[in-house]
Amino acid sequence: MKKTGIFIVAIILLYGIVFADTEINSPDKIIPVRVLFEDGYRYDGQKVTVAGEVIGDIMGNGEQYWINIKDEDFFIGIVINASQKEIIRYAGRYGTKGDIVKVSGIYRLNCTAHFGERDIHSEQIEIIEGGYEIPEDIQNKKVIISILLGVITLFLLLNSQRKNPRRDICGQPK
Amino acid sequence: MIPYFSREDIGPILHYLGKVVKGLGVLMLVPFFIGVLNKEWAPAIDFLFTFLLSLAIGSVLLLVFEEEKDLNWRQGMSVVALSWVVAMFLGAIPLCLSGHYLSFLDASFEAMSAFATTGLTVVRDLEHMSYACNFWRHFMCFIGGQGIILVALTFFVRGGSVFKVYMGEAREEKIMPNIIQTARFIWFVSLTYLVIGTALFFGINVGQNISSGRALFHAICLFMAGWDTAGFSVQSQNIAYYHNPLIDLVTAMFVLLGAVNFGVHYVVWTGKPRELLKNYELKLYMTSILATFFIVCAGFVMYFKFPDFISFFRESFYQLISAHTGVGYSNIAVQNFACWPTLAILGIIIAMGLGGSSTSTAGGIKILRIGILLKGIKKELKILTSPEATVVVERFHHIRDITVEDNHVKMAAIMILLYIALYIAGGIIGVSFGYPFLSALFESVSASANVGLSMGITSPFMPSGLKITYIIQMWIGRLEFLSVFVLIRFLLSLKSPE
Amino acid sequence: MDKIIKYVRVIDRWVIGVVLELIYPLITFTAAALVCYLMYLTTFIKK
Repeated sequence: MKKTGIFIVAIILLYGIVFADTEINSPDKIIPVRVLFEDGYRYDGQKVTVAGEVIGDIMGNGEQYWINIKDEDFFIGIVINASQKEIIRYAGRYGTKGDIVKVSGIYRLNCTAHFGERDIHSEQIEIIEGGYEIPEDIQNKKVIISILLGVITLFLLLNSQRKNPRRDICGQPK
Repeated sequence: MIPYFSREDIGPILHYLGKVVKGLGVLMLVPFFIGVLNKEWAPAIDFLFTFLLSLAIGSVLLLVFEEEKDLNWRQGMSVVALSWVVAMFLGAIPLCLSGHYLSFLDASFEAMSAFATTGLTVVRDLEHMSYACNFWRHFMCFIGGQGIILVALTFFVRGGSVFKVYMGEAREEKIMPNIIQTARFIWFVSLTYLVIGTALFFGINVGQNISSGRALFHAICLFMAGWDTAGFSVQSQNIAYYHNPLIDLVTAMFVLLGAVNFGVHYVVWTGKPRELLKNYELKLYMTSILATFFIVCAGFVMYFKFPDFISFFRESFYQLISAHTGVGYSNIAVQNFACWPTLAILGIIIAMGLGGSSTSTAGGIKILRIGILLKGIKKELKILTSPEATVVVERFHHIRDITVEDNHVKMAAIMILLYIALYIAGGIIGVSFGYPFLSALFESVSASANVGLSMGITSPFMPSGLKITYIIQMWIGRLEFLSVFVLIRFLLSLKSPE
Repeated sequence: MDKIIKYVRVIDRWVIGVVLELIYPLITFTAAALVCYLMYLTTFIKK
């Protein structure tokens, strides 16, 4: 009897240890976007917090806008409203590092309000790291090689033009 | 029987290759000027460098092999197959210099994927790529879709040689009696839709408050990759980036039109619109789209996961139309395919394998071949079940009425078998690299039929052996075997020149 | 004058052709939507 009691207590404790970590789903903890893809069903319809670089364009009109954020190599679309749109200053593209934002909102695998998009409806958005412009890195080596190559090419072109004069339709030199 | 090659064939082949290289070099000026206009100096220098290098290589080839002769058939075929390899290396240079690729192999993979209008991509950090370089990715799709040689040689070669290379680029039909007119008409159709398509995408993008410069860039790139059924996109998320059902609709429209035979375009545009209803290939194509879509839907019905009809239709049909036309645009993330039921994925694989119409920009087996085979089977069945002396004739309407002959059926069956062999071979190689069978087959079919959908195998981190396999598959699939076989024969005969 | 009429005719046919071709995919999509909707309804029967 005593053994059975100990056994039951042990089972309950084990259960607690194994599942304690997975059951807690704090909405404030930042979840990698990768997890939202790998374990999508678990987070469907729940409030989640993600962080990533705003990339590309801010799209939409009126009250609703779309932004896309990039976290590692995973992307997710976020629906924001007009006032939230104002806080975003940089979107990532060539020569620009976008703002890194932290967004909390409801995650949906197939959002019925947006024709089945996988999205997060943002409730709160804040910039955790501002974007900036990246100056272009022009390598002098490449410029010098190109100039040298230009001279060689010009020489070759002139030579081949002399050897192969333009021909007319019948293949006779003009 | 194709006659053996001799060393005398090398001269003309390399002479024309020189012209192609020069032509490709000139095309590099387009991204160069885009770079200059956007004040992107670093990529502009890369393009200038590649432009000069191409001109230099081209000139050297023309200097060494100076004699200009008309190509014969097998030389023409070899020029085509070689040009695509050379184009891949040249196209990869500016990509590799941009620093968005892990190695030159990756850049070559991307260039072949673009030229063969596949759309599998191994780019890294596409979001921060320059306009010039990103435009080059899409421009390569456009050049490859129209036919590299056709584009490069339209400006450099006159006379009979063009026809031989035209045949080599998997365009067996002559729409008009004259090859130059045919080439012009293909350009005319593409440019007409370029204007319409770009205007539509531009309007939609501007409506979404994208700045007009970027909206135009997105519009042109979307059209070029869509019309030529390549499936690259300006952003990593592909079409899912836009979160816009209108973009889905318009891209789906243009990819479907891009996968329609240019001959049909010609007949419809010159006052016979009834061809749209009468054309056998087109009818079969629509039937095939609905049939494969039925398989995909049936797969989902068993494991239904959508909250409503719209989500269901949008996710399933968009991938299907993308697979069947061979474009490879996707409005879901690559990871989503992992949640797709197996039957639905099989439906997509079948659609990819079948491909679009013949003489279009699509890849794969091509519907006309399936149609001819079906007619052949029907004819054989009729012969078997009729009294002995009966003469059985099968006809179909494809621009004109055509009687099915045994020779047609034989050619169609050979091509279908070759494609299936290519699909399976790639699948086996994928499995031997340790990937699950379904995704290995999916990726192999996607590469050989020049589609570009992916279940996640294609990434910068996949084994180099698999990258090379897919490059070869894309190359062979785009050129429809023939010119590649001729080239292989040529290379073999160089070793044993008797 | 004759030349102009000839050109107008060519352009006329061309415009009609392009418009019809643009409508053509929409018909296919509608047919596909119907197939899809029927399949969608069967999911309710199963439940």
